[in-house]
Amino acid sequence: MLQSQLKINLPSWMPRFAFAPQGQAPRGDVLVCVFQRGAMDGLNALVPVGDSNYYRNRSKLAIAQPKTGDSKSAIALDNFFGLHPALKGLKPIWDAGQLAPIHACGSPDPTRSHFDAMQYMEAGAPGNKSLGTGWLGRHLMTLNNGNTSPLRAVGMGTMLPSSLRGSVSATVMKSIVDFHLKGNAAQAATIQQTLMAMYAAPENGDALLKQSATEIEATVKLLSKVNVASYSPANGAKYPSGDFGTGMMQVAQLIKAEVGLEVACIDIGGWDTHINQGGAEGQMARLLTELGDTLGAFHADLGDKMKSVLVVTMSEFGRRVEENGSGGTDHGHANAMFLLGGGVVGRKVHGAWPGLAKENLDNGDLALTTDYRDVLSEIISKRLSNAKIAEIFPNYTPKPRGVVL
Amino acid sequence: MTQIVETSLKKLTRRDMLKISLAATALAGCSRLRDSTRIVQGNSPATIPTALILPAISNNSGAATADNLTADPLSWLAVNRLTFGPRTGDVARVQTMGVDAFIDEQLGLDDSADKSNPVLNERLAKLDVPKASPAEIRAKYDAKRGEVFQQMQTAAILRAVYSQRQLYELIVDFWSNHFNIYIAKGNGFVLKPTDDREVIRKHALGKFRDLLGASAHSPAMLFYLDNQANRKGKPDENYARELLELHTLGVDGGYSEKDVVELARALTGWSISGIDSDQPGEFQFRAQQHDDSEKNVMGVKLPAKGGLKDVETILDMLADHPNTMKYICGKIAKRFISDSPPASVVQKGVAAWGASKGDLKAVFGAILHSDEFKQSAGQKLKRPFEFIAGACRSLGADVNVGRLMLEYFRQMGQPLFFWQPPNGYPDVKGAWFESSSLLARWNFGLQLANGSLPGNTVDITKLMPTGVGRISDDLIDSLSLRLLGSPLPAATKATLKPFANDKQVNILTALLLASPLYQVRG
Repeated sequence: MLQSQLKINLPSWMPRFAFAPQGQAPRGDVLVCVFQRGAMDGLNALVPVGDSNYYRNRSKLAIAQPKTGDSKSAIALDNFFGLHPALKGLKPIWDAGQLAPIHACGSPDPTRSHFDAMQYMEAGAPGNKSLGTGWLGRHLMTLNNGNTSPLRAVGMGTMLPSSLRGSVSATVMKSIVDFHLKGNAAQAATIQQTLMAMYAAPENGDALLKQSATEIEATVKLLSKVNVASYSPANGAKYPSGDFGTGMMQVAQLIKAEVGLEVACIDIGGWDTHINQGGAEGQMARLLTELGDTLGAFHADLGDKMKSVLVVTMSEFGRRVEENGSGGTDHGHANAMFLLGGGVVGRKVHGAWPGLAKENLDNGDLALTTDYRDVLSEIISKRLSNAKIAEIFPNYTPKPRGVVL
Repeated sequence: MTQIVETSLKKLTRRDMLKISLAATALAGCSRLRDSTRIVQGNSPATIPTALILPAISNNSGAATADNLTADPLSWLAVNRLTFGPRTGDVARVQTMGVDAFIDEQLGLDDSADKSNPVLNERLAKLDVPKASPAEIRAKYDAKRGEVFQQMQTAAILRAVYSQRQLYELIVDFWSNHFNIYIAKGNGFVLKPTDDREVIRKHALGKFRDLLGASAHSPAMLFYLDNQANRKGKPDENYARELLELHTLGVDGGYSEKDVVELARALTGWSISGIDSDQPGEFQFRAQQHDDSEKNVMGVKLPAKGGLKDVETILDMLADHPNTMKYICGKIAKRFISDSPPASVVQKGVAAWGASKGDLKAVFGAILHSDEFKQSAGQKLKRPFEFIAGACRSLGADVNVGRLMLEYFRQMGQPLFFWQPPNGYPDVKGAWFESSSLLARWNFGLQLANGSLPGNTVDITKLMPTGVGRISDDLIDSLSLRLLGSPLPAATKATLKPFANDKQVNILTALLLASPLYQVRG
């Protein structure tokens, strides 16, 4: 790709400005991006129970067609698709009209390398390894909505997700509970106060350092209001234990606390199921349970607030249609995405189904009919009030797909 | 220290006492260094001529000015930029020998410099991965690749803390980023240790053409950038593009998309032996996959049937191309001088490159000996590697690294060998410095000074000047001189005073490590 076509007319980083009053709500939805690292088997998550070729290719791993009273069969969504039974946590969301699955979707780049595919997907530029910024980073960079909260963008984890790379500094935290100085509270407060005085002192001439210290103070202060340690989810929601469940619960806490959160990124890994993937039960079913129960809890916990929250799931690519000899599946191409929230066109499985007959496959894999950038562009322009799609997804003209309102 | 001699005779004050104790500490440090880990080897012994220090003591002639508590600014700059951080006595030593002599000395050190470095050598000896072949790593670590990452990171940190070849280790880090390889891509973890040893470390201060050529033959690089998939009729342009865009000419270096395609064709068949072969992960030219028709890369015609020679011809051209010189000298200046270095110093590097035919010692020498370098105080922030290794050096920590220290690299955003894109960790501060990484620095300082980083210990009491140092002002001054190169202004000193006592000296130390001035790299 020619670099000149990709130049975005912004410096590689932009100074952030003094904080506006905290606590203001963002203009659009809060976007929560869930990345399923390792390549989820979309065919077993969002099951084409109406496609006989699915069953022909998956004699061991296939999920049975929906059957009343059989908890190991697919959960019917429409006449053609069903959810893996382990995704039962998503069914109430579907019933509420706030779930919009999209099938045969993903990045058009043909790579079957996790590394490359993730990089392309998060850059928002399939085939381009040199961009250096991510699609969410560019979204935040180009949306000047006056939100200067240090928690405008949060990556739950230890490293900044590539999608958030860009000019607006995102806050990375493994847990909102850990974002403070070590030691007992009284001592930490004294130390922090002393540090703030040192960072404000005239001998500190570095604006970036000053600003980072101010952000720490503001973030610690913001988080102190959230009462991170004791939180009881609403509406009887129960988050599964583990990093993903805890992380999503903390995202919900931040949303409810109205600390200015606009974008949160979180990972759930372990999807590279080459061996012993399992069918209705087993390895992948356990992961889907964690995913579905967490999203279900998140949805219940936020209640009415889901009107202005949008969760999107993605994975670097899908898996081979035909199961392999080790009870698993190898790297494939197109996959399924899930959108959750009040702003989605719900109760509908989106995306054209290319079929699983041999002649319809892409090198043995599910063919791609919806570019993931179409989905994300629509979310950004319709739900996040940002029209700068050309800068967010360079060299791409997205097609309207009607996945959000 | 020469200014001490010139000052008039005065009665000894408490400040003089402190100064004397600091000089004594520096000397004591030197004698310790002589036994184990001094900077210099061979014909430049690491002693400070006593004449330069002693007169102040023996003649009682030192005036009590704040200047006496300030390190020589140029020496401070040089030690902070050209090493991972000053240890006891380092700055005084550079002041004595002169910055230019120090640069030459550092550029002149070879492998033998660390021959008698028992701490480093004993700790490195416990690590087998850095020395291992791809086959050995595959056999032993296939199911525990995390240990490969840890060992590679540990080796780099140990060298940064303990090696005498400080500038070389910084330059190794520079090239590790320039020829970046993400160690966790697939099975690349078996290959990267060889690249680190045979490409980066071997050629870091050699000829650029050799470094570039070694990288082009490196299985780790060919795998990382997919060149093993680059075959006749099915080209993969990944490596070809980065070779031009990142490794040599730079993105505006004057090549076209056509040149990328042509170079990719020249690179077809540059591959590696498979994991099932006798020698897995070795460079292999697969002639049957090589596109042997004619090519033209940036006007250089490659006649048909050139085979392996195609790429060598292009590497010759690229290593000697003015845009390569300009791009790489710009990056060196960005790393060592300023986030926006003056064009004049880049030009000095380019001139040295041309005159020396790409001798990297000459190139680094020209850039570092420049006036632009000497005038660049305050223009760089410490990157996480420099912050962590530097804090250990400045506190005289006994370092074994350990998981928690590695975790802090992650929290600060730059775990070694873990940058996924091929461009290396960004150098310009705005691209990487942010609040959570600063918070991680603050917590690292607290844990290091408190002795709560498993595997690493600091004896804070050793840092305190004896006797007089217990007086709070002097304690702050002595730690400030050690960590910041100068005393703090009165207002900030007053802020720190509550911590300036025996019981909280570890917190005082942590506060200075966390201070804004400590984040500045000289």
